[in-house]
Amino acid sequence: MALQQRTRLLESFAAHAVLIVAVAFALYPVLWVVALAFSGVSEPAPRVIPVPIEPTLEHLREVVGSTQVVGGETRWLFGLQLANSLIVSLATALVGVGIAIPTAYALARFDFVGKRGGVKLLLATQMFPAVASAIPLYILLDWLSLLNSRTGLVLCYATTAVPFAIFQLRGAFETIPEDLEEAAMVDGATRFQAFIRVVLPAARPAIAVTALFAFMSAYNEFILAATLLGREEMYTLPVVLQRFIGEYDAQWEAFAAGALVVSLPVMALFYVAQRHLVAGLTAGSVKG
Amino acid sequence: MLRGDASPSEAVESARKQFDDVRRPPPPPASPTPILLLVGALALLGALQLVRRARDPEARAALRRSLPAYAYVAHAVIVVGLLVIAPLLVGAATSLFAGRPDSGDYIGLANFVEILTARGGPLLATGSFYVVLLVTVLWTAINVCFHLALGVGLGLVLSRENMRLRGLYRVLLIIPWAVPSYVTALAWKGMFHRQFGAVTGLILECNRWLGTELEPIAWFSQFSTAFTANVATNVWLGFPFMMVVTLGALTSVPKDALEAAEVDGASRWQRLRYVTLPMIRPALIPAVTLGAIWTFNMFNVVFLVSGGEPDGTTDILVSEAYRWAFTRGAQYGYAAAYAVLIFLLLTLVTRVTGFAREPS
Repeated sequence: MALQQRTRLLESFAAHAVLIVAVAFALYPVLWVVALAFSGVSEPAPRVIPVPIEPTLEHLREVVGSTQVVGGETRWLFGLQLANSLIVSLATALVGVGIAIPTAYALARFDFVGKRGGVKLLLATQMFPAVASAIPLYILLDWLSLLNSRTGLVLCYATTAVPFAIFQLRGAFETIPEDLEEAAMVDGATRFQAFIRVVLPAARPAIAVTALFAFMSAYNEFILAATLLGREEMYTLPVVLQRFIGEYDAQWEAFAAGALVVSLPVMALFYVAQRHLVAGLTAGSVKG
Repeated sequence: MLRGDASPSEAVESARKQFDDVRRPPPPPASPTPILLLVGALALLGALQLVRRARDPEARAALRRSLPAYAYVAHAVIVVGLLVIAPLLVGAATSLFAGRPDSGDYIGLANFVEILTARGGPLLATGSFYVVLLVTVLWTAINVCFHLALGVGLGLVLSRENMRLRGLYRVLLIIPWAVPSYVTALAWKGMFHRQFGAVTGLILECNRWLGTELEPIAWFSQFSTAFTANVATNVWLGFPFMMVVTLGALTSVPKDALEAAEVDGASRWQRLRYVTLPMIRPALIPAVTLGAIWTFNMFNVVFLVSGGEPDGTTDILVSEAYRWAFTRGAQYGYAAAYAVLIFLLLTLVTRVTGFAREPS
């Protein structure tokens, strides 16, 4: 008995040891960025323990307070860039979910000619890597004179957000029992009324989560924004952060401070929504 | 970027190669007759098929029954057609053109021929399609193995009975998934910085405490170390997904099956090997396929951590395609041909593994 207890204790000890090592691995880069963001030394030195040296808020202030002078007028550059990011991400989420809702409903409930072919086609488009579709998108936006615009970027993001939302929401609608609509239709509602008044409210959490993910993936997207946007006041935040680490002049502390400001809110959102993501992801949509 | 140990002649050679890549002459124009004939024949066949369907009363009835559903999908068909399908078709079509600032001629399959013959050079030279493909496959395989091993291992440890602090560990361990991937990539690039990176710090500490004489490494001057840096970053970023999938799958393993196995005298290893793992397999297979596709196309890590250094050897197919379009003199046609090849490869692989097939 005592022996069994000892093995159990040892095992539990080993399990915690493994998990603590894993947590250290998971946390270290994050702590390293935090330490860098608050360090006041001008000459970065190699450091192992991620604590700030000569703590300061200077880098945060510098990044968040960046300005631009246009025609003698000083503008709050970081504010403009934050607004770009928020506008583009919100628009992407709205466009994605708005287009996907009725489509996903039709895919979940109706059988129609061309359904299987259409879904297959949509799945196939997801095999085209996002970066590779940057090439035709760049050419098309150039034709439409939409390079360097928020609209152009939203159009690009919609190419992944719409299929993603369709697959996520189709799964959600399939879990809602069909009796709900049938009951409403017995009471005299049309199919469309039943969809709007009964199904949509029941699917509200799934719709919110889908919109949240469409928002976050647009907010975190880097390479399309870096390729399509050429003017500083049009940049979204990921481009701003990447620009701190130029080829010859890398401002690591500024990058770290910016990374904290930019990613903490989306990380919080991620924690709110992540439990709902996995099922939908493995159910069909491919791009991350 | 510190370029450690390249000799002058090597440097000249690589500079010449880069210059050649940018100044590559466009392939000669080709006659568009074959493709026009092909497209015409396909259109004719399609039209014939449509007419036949339209005259079939059963198909007409099915079509009539579908009408209410079309009201829900019509706008999406238009939008998806314009936003998703059209750019992809334009992209695929671009691969048949020179698609460069100095020439827009139709050139047939010349781009594909050039890519698949490594532009006339040796097939296994640096930067040839086959070498980049090999690097990409290696990259995908190594990463997915690490993701799977770490994810499943941690998932199993976390789901032990009476595990204390499980919730806290779970929250902390999925942090890497929550961090935006471009931030992760840039942060790890910083950690691998030769002068002040944390990894250099670790090496110096190791020297101080253990008396070793390790030199700080210029991580991005050699293929092996640059590739390792990329892999370390991507392993960090990707294991939480597998862990979460494993945790989810483990909740559906029935307790009585494990207890029955225990009563029958199965050792712990046997229970894991013959009961638990087969039961979580169905959930892991789509996750592994998805993870493999993500890794195969993981542009951000390669582009931001090593940036293909040294000399594009650590580039994977997507970052190579990007370079041809946006950093080597706007050779869109050539880049589009790369994109089409990536698409064909992924479609083929997912076909074979049966992922992404609609359940019928």
